[in-house]
Amino acid sequence: MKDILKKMLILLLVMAVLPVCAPAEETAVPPQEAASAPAEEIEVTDEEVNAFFSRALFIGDSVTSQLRVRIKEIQKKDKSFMKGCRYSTAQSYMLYNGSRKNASSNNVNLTLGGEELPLWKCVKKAGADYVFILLGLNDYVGEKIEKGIGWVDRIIDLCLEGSPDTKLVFMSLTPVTRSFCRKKDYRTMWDNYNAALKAKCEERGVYYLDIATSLKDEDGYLPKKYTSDGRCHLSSDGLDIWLGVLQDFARDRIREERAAQ
Amino acid sequence: MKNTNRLIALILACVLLCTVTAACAEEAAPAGEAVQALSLEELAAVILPDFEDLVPWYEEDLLDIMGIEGDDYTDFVYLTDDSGMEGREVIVLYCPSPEAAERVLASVTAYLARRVKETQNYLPDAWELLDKAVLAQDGATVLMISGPDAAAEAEAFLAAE
Repeated sequence: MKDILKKMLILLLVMAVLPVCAPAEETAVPPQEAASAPAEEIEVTDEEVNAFFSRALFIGDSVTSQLRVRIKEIQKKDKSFMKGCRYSTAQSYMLYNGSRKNASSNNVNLTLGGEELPLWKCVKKAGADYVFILLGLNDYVGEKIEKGIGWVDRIIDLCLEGSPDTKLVFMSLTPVTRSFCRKKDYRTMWDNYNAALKAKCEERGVYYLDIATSLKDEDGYLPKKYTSDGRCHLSSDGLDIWLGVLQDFARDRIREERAAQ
Repeated sequence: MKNTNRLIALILACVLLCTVTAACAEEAAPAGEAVQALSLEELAAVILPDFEDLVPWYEEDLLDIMGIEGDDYTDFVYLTDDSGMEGREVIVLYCPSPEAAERVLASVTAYLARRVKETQNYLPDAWELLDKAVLAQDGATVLMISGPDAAAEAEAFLAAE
């Protein structure tokens, strides 16, 4: 009897001690208290980058038209590459025309859905999360920086009024070749415009994306390997450099969005 | 008698000619049927000498660039040069009805007008090709082809209907 009572006592003691020794339950930490992993360490897949661009719109002139064609070419082998990305481009389109409230039938206009529209209406119609804009080459905007920045200001006003949730991304002017600069050295003018564009974007709280630096040679020109016409348009290699910059931008935004959740 | 024999010989020759012609037409029909079974993309691969160098565009581009709705065509091929700067373009659509074809033709006509405007005084070589582009509707088929042999290529696409 005593033995049985002893054993029962030991069992009761063991059962009493066991919960204390068991590992403590992990308590859920409120998200705001959790230490976020550094943004740059968050892995982003190609699928996520492609999905990012499915909610993007590209606006531009012949250079952006080239980017569009390059993406189509890549899609011959990889249909998922930047699938769903939309475009509104017109060769010879000007930054000045982009700043107008209405599209004039006398001018070259952007189109979306087969309809000729002013820039801000293309942005509104597309309903994209991100709108990438590259304009100014046809205006030779490096020669009229103040006017050009005024047009950029106007574009931001119109776009944000029509599409307040859209994130605008102004891309820097791409460099030009040594041959293009034979009569006038546009390098400094282009750089000065890009600096002013960057400052304006920071002032207005929109994105500025430097696509020029990666395309320049050591003298600040667009080198032969990156040009298709020996002047200002890009070769496949040059377009791929630009695509790399865009993909990096997408990864950074995705990481920011995830880190903020 | 002589004239009668000549007449009989002539009649026999005519009958023979008609028989041979009919036989050739029957042989041609199966080949025509085989070509019709090809998709427009496959047809383009046969007709266009630079097919492999051209870049294909998709349904979303027909909608975004030209406003052509998916219900207005049953098959299409939309190709451009790989630089986007040369003015070489091939757009062919099979439509479900002549009414749909008319809508598509209006969209493609407007598109071509825009392309001509944006390349004029900007990309002269491209402008020249686009300005001379073949734009046609034949029943339920609509096409726009710009290139050095646009007329012959257009004829080939229409003959394959």
